[in-house]
Amino acid sequence: MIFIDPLFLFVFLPATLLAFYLATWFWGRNAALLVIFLASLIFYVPYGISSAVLLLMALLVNFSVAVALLRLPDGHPRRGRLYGLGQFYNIASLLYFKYKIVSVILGGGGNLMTDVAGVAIPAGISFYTFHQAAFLADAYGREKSVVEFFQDIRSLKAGFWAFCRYGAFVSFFPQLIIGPITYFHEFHPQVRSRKFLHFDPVNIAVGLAFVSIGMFKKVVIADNIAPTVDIVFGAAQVGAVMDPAHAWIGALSYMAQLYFDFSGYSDMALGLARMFGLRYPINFFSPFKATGIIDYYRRWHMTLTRVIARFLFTPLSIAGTRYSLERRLPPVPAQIVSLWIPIMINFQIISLWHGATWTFVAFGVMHGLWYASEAQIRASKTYRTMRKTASPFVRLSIERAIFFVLLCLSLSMFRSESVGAALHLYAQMFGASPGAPSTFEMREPVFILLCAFSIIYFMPNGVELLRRYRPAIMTYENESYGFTFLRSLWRPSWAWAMFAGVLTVSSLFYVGRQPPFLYQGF
Amino acid sequence: MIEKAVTMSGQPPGGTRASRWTGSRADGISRKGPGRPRLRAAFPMLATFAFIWMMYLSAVVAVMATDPYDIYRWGSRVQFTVNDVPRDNVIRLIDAIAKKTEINTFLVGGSTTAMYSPDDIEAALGGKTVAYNLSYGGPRPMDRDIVLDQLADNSHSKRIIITFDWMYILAPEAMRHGFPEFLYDHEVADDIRMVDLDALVRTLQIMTGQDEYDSRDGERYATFVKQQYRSFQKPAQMSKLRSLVEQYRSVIDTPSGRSCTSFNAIDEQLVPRIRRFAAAGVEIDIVIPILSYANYYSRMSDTSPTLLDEVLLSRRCLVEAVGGLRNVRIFAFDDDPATAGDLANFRDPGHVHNPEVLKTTLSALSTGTHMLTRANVGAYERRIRTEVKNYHVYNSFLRIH
Repeated sequence: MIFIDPLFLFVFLPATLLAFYLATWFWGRNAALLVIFLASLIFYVPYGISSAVLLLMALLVNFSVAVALLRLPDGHPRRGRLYGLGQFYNIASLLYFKYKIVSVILGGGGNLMTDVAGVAIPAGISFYTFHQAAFLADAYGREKSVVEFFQDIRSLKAGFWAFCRYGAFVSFFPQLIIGPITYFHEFHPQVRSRKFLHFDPVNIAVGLAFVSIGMFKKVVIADNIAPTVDIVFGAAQVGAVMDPAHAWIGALSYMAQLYFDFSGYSDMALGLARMFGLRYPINFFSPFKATGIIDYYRRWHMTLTRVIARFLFTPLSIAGTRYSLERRLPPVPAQIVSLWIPIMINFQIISLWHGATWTFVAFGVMHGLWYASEAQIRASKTYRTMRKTASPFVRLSIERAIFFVLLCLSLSMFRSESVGAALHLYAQMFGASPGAPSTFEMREPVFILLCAFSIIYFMPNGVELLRRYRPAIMTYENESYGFTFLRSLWRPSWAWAMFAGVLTVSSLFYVGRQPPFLYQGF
Repeated sequence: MIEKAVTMSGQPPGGTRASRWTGSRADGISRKGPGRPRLRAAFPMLATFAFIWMMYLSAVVAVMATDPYDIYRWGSRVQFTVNDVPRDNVIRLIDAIAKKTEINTFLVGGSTTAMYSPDDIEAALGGKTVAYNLSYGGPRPMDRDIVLDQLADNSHSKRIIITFDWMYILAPEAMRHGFPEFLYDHEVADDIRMVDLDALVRTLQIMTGQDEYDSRDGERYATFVKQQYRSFQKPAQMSKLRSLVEQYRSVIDTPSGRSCTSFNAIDEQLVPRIRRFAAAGVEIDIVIPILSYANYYSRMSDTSPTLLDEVLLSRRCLVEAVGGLRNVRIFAFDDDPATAGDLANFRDPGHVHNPEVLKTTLSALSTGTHMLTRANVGAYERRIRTEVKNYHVYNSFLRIH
């Protein structure tokens, strides 16, 4: 099921909400979490029974390892090995099912190993694996919430309910397929609180507002931009010539499509979770308003950024810094070891997380180099002096312009079918074939793009609009731009209800088509 | 947290009518009081969405019970206006039309054949032909398969006319944007997606006793075609095409490097279906739509830079695969420069407008002329390749040579 499926919106969601609140009312917290867990499994089953079995196995393995990790004392020799084994399971299943590493090593089909790996990539495997990897790390580090959660398990029955709660945490359907990647300490205190047991109509209202905004972004904006993107990138793939204007419109259209697709999903995820009385971390906060790539990654797929930063970049950077200090390296090699190498590895992992293709590798290299260069420039004396003297408006405008062009080019690489296609598109964008035959009628795509970018730059995002109701957990503190009076505007009033209703009905107009969210492919 | 938001807004009800409507107050504080039930605060949202939910589910029940596209056992048994071509909705009515036992000839085509009415087809084929046109714009391999499968499963057809469009060079999984594949699978749950404005209007029509489907599309389509022809038949359009032709002449016949095994949409999808129909005794006429020679230049950007090579190769592969099979005939008309080279015959480079040419295409099916066989496909291919390579924009209507 996907969020924009009418079957999900009009049947599954109301039925699950009803079951959840009835369970809360009659049987309490555990029953409510069991409803969430079972509903999430039902939500996931249409992606394939084998995928659902794999998810259940991953839940069982990680839960069992976490229990064992907390039972064993800190100095126990098996503890580290057990932790490594748990993480090995997570990484290995990701490599096996997502990257088909076995097929790569053993060649084509013909044996059980490659045949099993050859099945379709289980939906959401990247997300729930990261989710659980972070949980295991928390268990290993005896994070307070995890310890508190497991200390109540003293019987088989308690173990069963704890597993259901854990299952609900990992597989909760609003975040199962595309995130946000949540930490246990963000989930556990909420389900422990007394508020969780109370039906709050305002939660439903806030959730509905998010769902209507998100659905409109996805169904009406992103999906109407998609045909232009498909034409231009399809033409680039076959090496067709294009007028520069068409090539740029295609590249910009992809930026807007990806933005509204992911933003729409993120809003819907927050809204759906909120309907169950839960706040989830913000994953998307007006990323195109960023002033550079460093700022961008604090706004785009924020929960992936923080997981990668926590488990990969920070340890690598610390190790590099230690190494350079111990060896007393000169400034340039020290920078390379403590900054450039960790950043390049960091971005390779982030990009390969999307899939094992050369375009993602190239995208990772582009963003890695860009990020490290920007970090160096921003740390330089010249930049700091300029920052003090230059007008903030001029400086930020230049920074945003540079950021926008570079992002457009790198996202074109991200979207292209091959590196060759991306290079071909770049050539067309920069005038290799002026006056080439028209690829598509310009008027409609340009109009949609104008609307899309006006919304991006002049409107508050969903979280800002509903800020009054604390709609989400802040992942990173981000500066807001744009008209201040538009923020915190929303209330569950009749006017806003009509607005949300119009958004929903407009989205239902396009309900016949059901293209998946772009991030579902990652 | 929410408590905080609501508690801080602890003011007695009141304010202006506008502030009650928008939920705002001049002092920026909500009108909801701390003791006021939260249900009341959220009521506008809940009521609005409960209304939308009920309306939508009612629509779903009404549409599925009425079954305007006749996909269930209890279907509405759609009656079609004689000689109508429901171009507006044909993609949703494939099943309903295929079930009509009286229809024995189907035209499965695209925008290049959407202009033919059942009368045109019946007149051209003669005899006891009862025809229907299932053409819709922009078909792709995957949805073409669905249409052919629906005919195989449901119809009593004796003859099927299939257009072999350029789209067969595409990937086999390519599907027309907006094609309602959910109507033609065995899953009932996804049929909820059929509920849209069109379905609702049709449901209401059936509920009010209008069983006969009348697309009223004929006039709109005629106007559209006329306008398209008018805007294409202009010197400026011809000069644009001329500059394109001159610019890309040197690369127009660049080899694509493809072979028959790379056209999976033909190899794995179309050919097996044709064979099955032919084996079952259904006559299959495959018509290759006429593309102007300028079309290969103008579609290089959105289709393929080696379009000419791929299209010609795909045609040869088709002829080699099914040419000579019992009950299968293939027709092609565009090796004649007087037809494909004269842009006066077209409403755009890929669509014929000239009624005479359109008539010839249909009548060839009964006279048996313009047939493409394994013996003549090589010459046919060479001729088009040469004509396209040496093409100079020609329009007898605008007197452009």
